Amino acid sequence: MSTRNLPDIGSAVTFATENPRAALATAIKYGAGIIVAIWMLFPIYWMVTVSIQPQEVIMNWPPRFLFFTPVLEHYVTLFTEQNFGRYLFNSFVVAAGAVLISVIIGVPAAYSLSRMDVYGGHHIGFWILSTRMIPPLSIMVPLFIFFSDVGLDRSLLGLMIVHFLITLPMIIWIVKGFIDELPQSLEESAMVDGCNRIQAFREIVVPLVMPGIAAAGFISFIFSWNNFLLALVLTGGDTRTAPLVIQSSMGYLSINWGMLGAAGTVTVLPVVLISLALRNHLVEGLTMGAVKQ
Amino acid sequence: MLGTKYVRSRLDRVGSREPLLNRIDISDRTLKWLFLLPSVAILAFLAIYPFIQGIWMSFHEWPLAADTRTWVGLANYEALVESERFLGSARATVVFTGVSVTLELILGVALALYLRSLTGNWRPIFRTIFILPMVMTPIATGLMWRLLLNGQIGVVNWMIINFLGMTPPSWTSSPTVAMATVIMIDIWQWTPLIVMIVYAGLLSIPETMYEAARVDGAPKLAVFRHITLPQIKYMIGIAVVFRLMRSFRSFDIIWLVTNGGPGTATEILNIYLYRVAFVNLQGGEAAALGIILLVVTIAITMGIIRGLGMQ
Repeated sequence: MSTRNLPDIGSAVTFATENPRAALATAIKYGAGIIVAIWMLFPIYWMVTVSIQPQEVIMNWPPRFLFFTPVLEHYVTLFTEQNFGRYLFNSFVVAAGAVLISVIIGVPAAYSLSRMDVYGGHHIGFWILSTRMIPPLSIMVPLFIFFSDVGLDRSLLGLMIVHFLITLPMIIWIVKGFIDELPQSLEESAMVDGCNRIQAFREIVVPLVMPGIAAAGFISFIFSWNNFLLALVLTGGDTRTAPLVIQSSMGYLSINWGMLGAAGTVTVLPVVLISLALRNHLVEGLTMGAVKQ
Repeated sequence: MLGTKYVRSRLDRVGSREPLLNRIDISDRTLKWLFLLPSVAILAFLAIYPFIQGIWMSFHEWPLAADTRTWVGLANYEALVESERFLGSARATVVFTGVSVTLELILGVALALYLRSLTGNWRPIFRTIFILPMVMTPIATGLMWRLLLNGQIGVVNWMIINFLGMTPPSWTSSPTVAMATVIMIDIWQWTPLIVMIVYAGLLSIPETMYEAARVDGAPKLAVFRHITLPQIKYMIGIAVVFRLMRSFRSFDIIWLVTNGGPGTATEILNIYLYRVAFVNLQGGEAAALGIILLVVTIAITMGIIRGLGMQ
């Protein structure tokens, strides 16, 4: 399938007419690619499609892949009868709050680890990274008891605090990677000119790594938004987040697929938009800065 | 961990420029800790406190519904190791993680090589396609696949009947097939992450190395083994670390698609832990299980990190 033997793949089509074996290789190559692409995209496509199909089209075979009259009734039900907007708002408050506070306290920490000779800084940095390795449930049992005792269970504030475990290490590590790449001479010359350290940090470093801070913030927002397990343990009733509501509407015998498709679509929509906008930083973020692109 | 040598060398350089930093030395010393303190305090509360409390709890019989607690020593651990359900869920975890991560790795490397062999506009198009599954909300992923595999309206069953002329399998009601189903969904969601990581590694291989091999007339397999593989070994290591870490804590998709069933066929340790803690409300046993899961996860990931010399 490799095309290393082709002189120029861009002209593979003209080349193929001269050589049947190469033509077959090209066909197999792009055929396989298309199959993979369909495999990746079809589940998403189908969820969105079902969300705009009338109930009778969903429930009858053969399934309609392309031609049907789209309807918005499932979205209307979702937001009026099911009040899904409230749960989306819960998800948003938790994720946005966790990200915002993590940025405020995480960016100085990243600066300190990157620039200032912290005793044992290497170990502190690695420890911060290793908190991401902890299986959340193994610490949720003691935390659940603690949160129940102080009355923070079933509250968005409690969930937001636990979400720091997702957002904070991520932001510290990604932003630290960006600060590491910044030439130190900029701050140094600012400090020679009479800036103190805090001024240099606020007026030189932060503006320069702002794109990195934004990328780190949005990527950790995705992780917080997508999280289900912590909300399952810590919230209930009106404080449930969107994924939790999707899960609890799937337990019944007759599942309203159209409405669930709509719920799934509006839940993944912000995530898709953010990740398409950030596609060049996404892998760096997902690997906590271990992979540079 | 990564790049820390670089950071270290930077930090050393700061130290060697004493004259410049002398004037603000005192405030710096306080400042660096002030900058770190809030983050370290929050993470200590969220990670160290529950770990220690968890160890303490695991030596007790500690029902979550009542206020009683009785010291039982190692009895929780002994009960777990002897319990058939724990051993079953440990086996399920090994099968789930082992099979899914292995297949994701093979498929991911193959697709990364494929992505690199593409030219022109195809690369960004495929890259965008590969980004989508891995950022999907896992609960939405579970929802999509339950919709696709549904017994009455599932499109996949319809395709199998009409295009292949076969009887579709009962996706979630037989133990083996249910495990294969959740592994398939996991592969759908997480193969793209491996593709993107390995692809980043492939891009860093200088083209001249391939040209040299081509001039020498090296066969493709030899090129892959002796040029490509050594160059992406590190990236594959990173991909494995991140996948293993997340695979051990898989929950959402299994919870939604099979709910650990049929019976306990797809009940991996994380699901079992949830049941012990928040369904059976056995806090002590759950804490013991949590400690086991944590120690195993950290030991395995650290083992790989050390083995690859990444730290």
